[in-house]
Amino acid sequence: MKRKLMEILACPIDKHHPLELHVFEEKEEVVEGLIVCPKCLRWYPIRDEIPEMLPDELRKEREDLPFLKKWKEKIPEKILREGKPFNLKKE
Amino acid sequence: MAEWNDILVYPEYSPEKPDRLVIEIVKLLKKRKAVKVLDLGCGAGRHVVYMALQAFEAYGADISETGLKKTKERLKENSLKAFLVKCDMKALPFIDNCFDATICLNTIYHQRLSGIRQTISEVHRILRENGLFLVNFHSERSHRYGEGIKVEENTFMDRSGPEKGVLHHFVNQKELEQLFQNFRIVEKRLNEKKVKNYLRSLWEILAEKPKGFG
Repeated sequence: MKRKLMEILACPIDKHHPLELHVFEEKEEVVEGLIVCPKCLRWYPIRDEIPEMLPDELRKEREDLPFLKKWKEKIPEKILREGKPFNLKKE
Repeated sequence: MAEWNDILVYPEYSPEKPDRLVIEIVKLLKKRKAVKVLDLGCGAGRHVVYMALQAFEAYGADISETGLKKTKERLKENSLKAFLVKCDMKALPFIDNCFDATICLNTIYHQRLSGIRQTISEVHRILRENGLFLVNFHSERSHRYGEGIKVEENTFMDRSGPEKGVLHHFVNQKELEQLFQNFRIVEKRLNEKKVKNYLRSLWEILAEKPKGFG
């Protein structure tokens, strides 16, 4: 994902802007990372350079929770505990 | 049920040449000095590549990662750059009033009427004043009308084939007027072509977001 995309990216649910970007791996583009809506605490993964800005009903817990676990050292505590639609509070 | 990730694997769903409608709109967009152009439901990316090639700031959005990956590959093969996002066309992840144009071809009708309404409302929101929306719909006159399982008035689900489980909604003039009530219709054309004994019938719409909605 090119960082410039953040200039127009909004939360698909509440349309909040600006969103927060957390970069985990970057080459020419952001390869893996996390986009967070500070208003509703929804988080969206960036995988294989593509930001996945899906609404809750299209998210897959079995794919998203391992992503959170993989990068938990770099993800803000608030998202790990209260992030939507999935979080690691129970773990 | 087939998913777009599986469907887009078939080569016939990944054409390379741009649609004539897109070639036509590019002339108008250049005249209007458009910058940001979104291909909504970009699939394998032929129009994202074409828009990038025409020096627009090209954006591609799709729900299928198979399509987005193909788009990315095609951009790399052509040494082009574009912005890609995986999203649902009923809940777009963009700020208000940011695009000069949105194109959405052979895509919007793969949902129920309520979804089409939401998508059009979202496109209206993300377009700038005087921004253009190029979109097409199956008409009720299409030979495909009535095929498959009826899920609501004018919406049918394919029973078999590569698009098994995929919805097709068919529109009429009255419905189009309602769908585009917040737009100014620049051009509305019923494009019909007989292929063997079948009638291919598509409404092609070019609409503009009027001033005062910004």
